[in-house]
Amino acid sequence: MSRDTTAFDDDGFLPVLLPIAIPLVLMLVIGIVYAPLLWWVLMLAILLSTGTAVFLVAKLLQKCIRENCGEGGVLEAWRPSAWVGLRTACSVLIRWMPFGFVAVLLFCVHGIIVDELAQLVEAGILKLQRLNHIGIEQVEGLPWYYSFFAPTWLTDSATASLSAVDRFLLGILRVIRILIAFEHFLSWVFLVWLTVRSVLYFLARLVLSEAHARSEAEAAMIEVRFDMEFTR
Amino acid sequence: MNLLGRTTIHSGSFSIEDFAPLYARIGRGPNAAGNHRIPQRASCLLRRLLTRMYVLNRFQPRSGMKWPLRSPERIVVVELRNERLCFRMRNLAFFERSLSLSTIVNAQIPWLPFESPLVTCLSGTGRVGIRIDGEPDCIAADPSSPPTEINFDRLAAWSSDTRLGISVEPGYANAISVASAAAVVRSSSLVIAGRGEEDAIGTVGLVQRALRLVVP
Repeated sequence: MSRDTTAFDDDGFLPVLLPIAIPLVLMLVIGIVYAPLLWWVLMLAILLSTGTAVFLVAKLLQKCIRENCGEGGVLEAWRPSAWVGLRTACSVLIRWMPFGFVAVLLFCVHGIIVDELAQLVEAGILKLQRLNHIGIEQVEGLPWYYSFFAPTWLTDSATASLSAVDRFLLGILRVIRILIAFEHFLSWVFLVWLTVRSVLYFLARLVLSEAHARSEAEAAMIEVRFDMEFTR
Repeated sequence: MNLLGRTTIHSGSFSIEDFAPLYARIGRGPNAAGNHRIPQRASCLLRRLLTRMYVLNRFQPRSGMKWPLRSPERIVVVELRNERLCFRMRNLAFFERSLSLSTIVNAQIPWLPFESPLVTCLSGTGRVGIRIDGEPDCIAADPSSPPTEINFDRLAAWSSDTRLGISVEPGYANAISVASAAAVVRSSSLVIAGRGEEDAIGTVGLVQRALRLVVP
């Protein structure tokens, strides 16, 4: 079959690229014309995305409670008393604990390595700035990654006097600093996600195996269904 | 729904000349060279990106065109008539352009630890091809019939009216080795699953499974 040469139809790449490209070009233009405005646009975007994330998590939690407590839900079928619930929670925690301990240990080792890297990057930036007598970006008394959130263009006028190589080096170090700050945030997200997933896994296996053992006598089984909607 | 009656299992190359325009995984199907498109770009975005199914291959079936198939792979073609079929993305072979991709969120505790809460679905009128390694089982069940048991890991596609009972073997060793769960089909218009037990895994496989509880 020959390649369909029809210019971008409704399934093509253009409708996907345009919504990404237009804001990027707009931000670039704003950044060139008046940089502080770009800062406020970015701050607004961060606020909006945080609000959306919180809203979605709350909806998911609400859905989780409704589907597990309502008719046919695991808590309805299992009907744990306070004592059984407490015993199950303790049992799950004991089962998960060795894995949780190793996961937190790995997280700490990873954190130490990344922190050392961040210190090296920060020292590099400070040395470059001191050597070239330009404004210091770091605010004393704050964690290193706070400088990512501070407007740095205030000192950028001074960087114009730098040589091309030094300017390039400074730019690269700043990008690495942003990447490290992002990685730091991401590793926390992963740790929380891993913990929730593992605890849920042990909880479900325990509840299901108990229900499986009981079903011989009571013919009770926890059912999973798929007739829900995305927003339900 | 009589989905089972509209389900065909193909064990060899089969004709697709009477099909509507199809979307298929890149590198599969009769036209591997590709006419790349992004159908329904906002649907199942995350899952499609993660499974490299965001960009698909679109082709117009012509006279004499066949879908190539090699043993032991099988394709189960299901004809939907304003129905919804849930599936695992890795088992999707192709779907007709008239079908819409969507996602449902399943937050039930017995489902969450074993599968993603985001379940991908196809709905509307058209045909969908589900890829199975080995012999497939196509099951329809109602609450009055004796329940059929399938291996949960080999579940490939199921209609949205399906009710599964999931059971696991007790024991800490089974939990650590992520021993597969069994799914009892309590009621459903159609469940498609691979036949047989899971392949035996070695020590490395067991360690990898246990590591899933430690490394994201």
